[in-house]
Amino acid sequence: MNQNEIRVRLMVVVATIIAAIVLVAPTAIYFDLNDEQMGKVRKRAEAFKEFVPSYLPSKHVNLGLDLAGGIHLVLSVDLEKAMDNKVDRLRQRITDRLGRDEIKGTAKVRDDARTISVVFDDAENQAKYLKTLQGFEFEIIEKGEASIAMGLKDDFVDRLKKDAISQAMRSIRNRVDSLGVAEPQISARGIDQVVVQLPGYDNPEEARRLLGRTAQLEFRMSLDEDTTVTQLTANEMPAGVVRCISTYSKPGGGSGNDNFIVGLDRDELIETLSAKVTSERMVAIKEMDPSRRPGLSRICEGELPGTPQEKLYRTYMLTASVPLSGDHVVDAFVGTDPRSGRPDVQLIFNEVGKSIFGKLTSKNVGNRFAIVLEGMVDSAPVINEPIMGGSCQITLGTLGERQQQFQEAEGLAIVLKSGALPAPVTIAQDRTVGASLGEDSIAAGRAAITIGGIAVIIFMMLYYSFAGFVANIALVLNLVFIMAVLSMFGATLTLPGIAGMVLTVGMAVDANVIIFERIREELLMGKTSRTAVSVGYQNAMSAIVDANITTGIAGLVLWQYGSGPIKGFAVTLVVGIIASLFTAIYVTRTFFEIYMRSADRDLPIGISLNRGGA
Amino acid sequence: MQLVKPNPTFAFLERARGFGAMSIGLVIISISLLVIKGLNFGIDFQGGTEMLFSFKNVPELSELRSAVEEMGYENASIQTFGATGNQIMVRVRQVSSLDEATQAKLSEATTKAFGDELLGYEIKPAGGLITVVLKAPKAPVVEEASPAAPAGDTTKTFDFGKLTGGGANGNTLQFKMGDDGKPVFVNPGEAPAKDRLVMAQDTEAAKAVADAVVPAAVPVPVKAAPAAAGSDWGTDKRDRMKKHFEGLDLRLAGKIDLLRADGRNEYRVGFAGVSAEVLDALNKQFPDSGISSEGIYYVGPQVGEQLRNEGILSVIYALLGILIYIALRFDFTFAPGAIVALVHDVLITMGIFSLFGLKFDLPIIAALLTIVGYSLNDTIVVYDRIREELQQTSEGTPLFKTVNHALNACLSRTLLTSVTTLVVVGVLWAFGGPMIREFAIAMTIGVMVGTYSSVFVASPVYLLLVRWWEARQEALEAA
Repeated sequence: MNQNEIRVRLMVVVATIIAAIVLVAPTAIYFDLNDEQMGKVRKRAEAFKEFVPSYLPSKHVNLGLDLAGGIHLVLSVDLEKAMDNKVDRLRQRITDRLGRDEIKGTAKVRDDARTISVVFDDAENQAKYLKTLQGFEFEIIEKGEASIAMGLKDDFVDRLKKDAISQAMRSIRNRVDSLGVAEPQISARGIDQVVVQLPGYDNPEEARRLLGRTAQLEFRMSLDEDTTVTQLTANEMPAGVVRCISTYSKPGGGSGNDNFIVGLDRDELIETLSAKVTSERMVAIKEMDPSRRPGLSRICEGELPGTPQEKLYRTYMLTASVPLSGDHVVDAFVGTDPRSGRPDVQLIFNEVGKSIFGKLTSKNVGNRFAIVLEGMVDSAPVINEPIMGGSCQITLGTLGERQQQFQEAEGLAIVLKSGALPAPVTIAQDRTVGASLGEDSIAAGRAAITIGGIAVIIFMMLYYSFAGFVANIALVLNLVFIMAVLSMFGATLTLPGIAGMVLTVGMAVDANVIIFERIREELLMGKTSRTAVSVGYQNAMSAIVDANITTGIAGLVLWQYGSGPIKGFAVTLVVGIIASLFTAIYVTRTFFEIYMRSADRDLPIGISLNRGGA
Repeated sequence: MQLVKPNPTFAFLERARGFGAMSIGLVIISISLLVIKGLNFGIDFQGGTEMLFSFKNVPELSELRSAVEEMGYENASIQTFGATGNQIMVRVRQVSSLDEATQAKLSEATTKAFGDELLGYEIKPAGGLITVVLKAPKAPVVEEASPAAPAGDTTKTFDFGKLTGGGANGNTLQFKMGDDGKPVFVNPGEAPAKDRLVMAQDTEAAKAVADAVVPAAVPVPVKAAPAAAGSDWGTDKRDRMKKHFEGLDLRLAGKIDLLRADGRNEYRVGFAGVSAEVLDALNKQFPDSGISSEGIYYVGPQVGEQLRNEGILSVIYALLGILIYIALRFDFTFAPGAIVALVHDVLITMGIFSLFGLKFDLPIIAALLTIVGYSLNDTIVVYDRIREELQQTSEGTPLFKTVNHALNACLSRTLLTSVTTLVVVGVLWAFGGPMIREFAIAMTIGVMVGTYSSVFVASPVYLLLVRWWEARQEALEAA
């Protein structure tokens, strides 16, 4: 190697070390925070910037739940509500069956919300229904002349509850994963609770916002020809509720009427109409921004209630059946509404959803459908033409700053993508928890790793003398580089991550052992140090590169497809392999070349050479 | 310093047959152990009991840990809880201390106690849960037994004649309302009255009265003593359920959940021999710590199906990637040997875990992945030497000689690397503390087996494959 080459190498090595130190500095500062400062940072991640000089980056390595603890949230899943929903869906299915098989009768959920009664027009229809009755969910608990009552089977109820909990766990895991929080712990507790532990996190508010949303999304048809609203008499309208009518144009000419009532109290609005509608329809509510007041006052009979700053609610008359729900959404992302420029959430349906949506929209051109999110109508657009592409948008309210709207859209996209919760979830408890491995174990582990590391360093020095010393420097640099890259990512370090690091450090030591053994072989054959070093590196290269690439491929695949501890392991493994290839091959070689600059200087590598005449 | 003299000439492959037989034997034993005995899964995989304790003075975590371990709850996770630092969360994977005889006794007693009311009974010792399904009463049965009692006289006589089970002393029982609104028995020898009609379990009479009063869900005492009521005695028999099981020496955990359906009430009774034992033992060990139990829960496994499936899939993809890379960089005859070697290593490590009943938890997955990485690294380095020797040897040299020469040539590196790695994992095993002991054990076994397998599994498999391939080619040419 000529002087120029050595100089370039040295510059590369020094530059990398400087960059690594800059990147790793925030992590060093982070680990050095005292309890009070750490408390501040865990409450609000932004606060860390106060402790770092402004010329340094502020991203740092976090410690995982096992090493540093985090927040412990207990979520209660409202199983009763999940059962209510399920019973209602089953009633809907029975109604659909009655219609399909042309059986005259109506299905209704009883007041206990657990049993469904079906009243037939006559015994003949009942017989027809019973003949085709199948399904594992129900058993008939009462049988009248032309009616039956059905209750959920016990084992089905059990399964429903278990399913509800596991569905809740699945969506919670997906949501936490999209937060980018590394290796959360999620487990069921008792009958109706889910425990979520998030590492390095002390701010339950954000978690609450993300984990508490049901994200239940439904598409229902809007029944604009319904006359319930127009037939309301003045007596039936509570004070402060006004009737409105707006017209919309249908594709290909003609127009439709949208009749609704507006008020300040959503429950009052629902009550006013619900008493008058059959079980095939339902009353839904939409929140109206105060900015809509001027427009509304033009189309409503009488004064709008409340002050100009108060928001209003309006009603929609929708089908009770839910032809399409969020279950069929496969992807959701934030887009921009081309007309208003405001952020919206784009939904992509799966194949089934696509086909349902296509059929629904082709059958209902000119009508409106309502997108109902978590029980509230989001929007009710007119179907201008059949939508076969399998996507649609959810618009967001006009409230708030643009930045805030985007954040809200992000949050909504995450919860929609990760699947609905089967029932409302409440956060029953939030507490900070210490390291799950226990602080005592961590101290012991840290001591053990230090002892092990020192043992390896001493061994390398004894066995390979100066060459071993150089390898040790490379080893330390290796750790600094790994931590620097992890800092840059703001990665979270866990025990599996440390295992990945130990493996790559082991592989770095191995690489140096391979190189040094090769150099010794050459030296024993009588070659000069310079030639031996050059040939030794050359011969060792293929083994080291192939071994690292093979392991690296495994690491990349695990990084891509694995989750939890597997991913944590893979990330440090991949980063570590790159760092160890650089340090074990490039850095050590550079040091050796510098050492051997003067032509006759032998490289001490732990063997005595008997050179005749030298 | 030199560990291995230059140019060693060990005849590794001459003993390959013996080592091969040993490896196959070990793998078969490991698989049998895994199938028959299975792994001793930890709380991450199978769930367990989560207990929360409050302390006035918190002992050292390590002392707490050893106290819990001494009770036989190994590998308990001990975690500080809450911001104040005086609460400790203990997680153990045991959920039940009930043996089969106890379970039979519980079942029999419950069937007897609830009689016709009982619609269903199930005990899940693993989940620490008893489910009792009772008929829901149509309406509370109010039996004012002595409406004629003169005003001011608070002594009341109840007629138990109509009730199942009969009374303690004949069919009547007398008590009057105490000043605190709770019933006091007239005959003091009969039973002390605590909350409502709570009977001390040690007096025979009280038990008999409980048998008589409780099964019929008589709401009278509640009516007579409204101050003590406050619950829906009669429709909600949680208290009764509690007493029933406590009377059977079962230590209950948490509150009893009641799930109502039409015509049936389902009670879910959690029990925990575990937490009660832990609390007692901690109380004895740390008498000054002011320990109290804050809650006991049964937690499910953290590793759900999703995580498990994802994990298995990702490992399969990774193996495929490795297979393809080795086939491209070396030769397709090399690739299977590497895969066989690492499967061999992982199976034997898991087999040893099964044999000694070592706790298998999430960090062990990381250890297994590390073993895979180590084994792979080792095998590739050996393969590289074989590849190099193949290029240098002259035509006609028997393949096994070349391979043997390659194994000898990199022997010193193989030993050095495994020794240094063993030093590190050995230190981790010795000084790493109880929580990462299993992790270190897995790594130690894995490093040893991984080194062995590169020489005695991967290389012979390669040799066998080449022979098979050549024989096939010859056969094809001959045909």
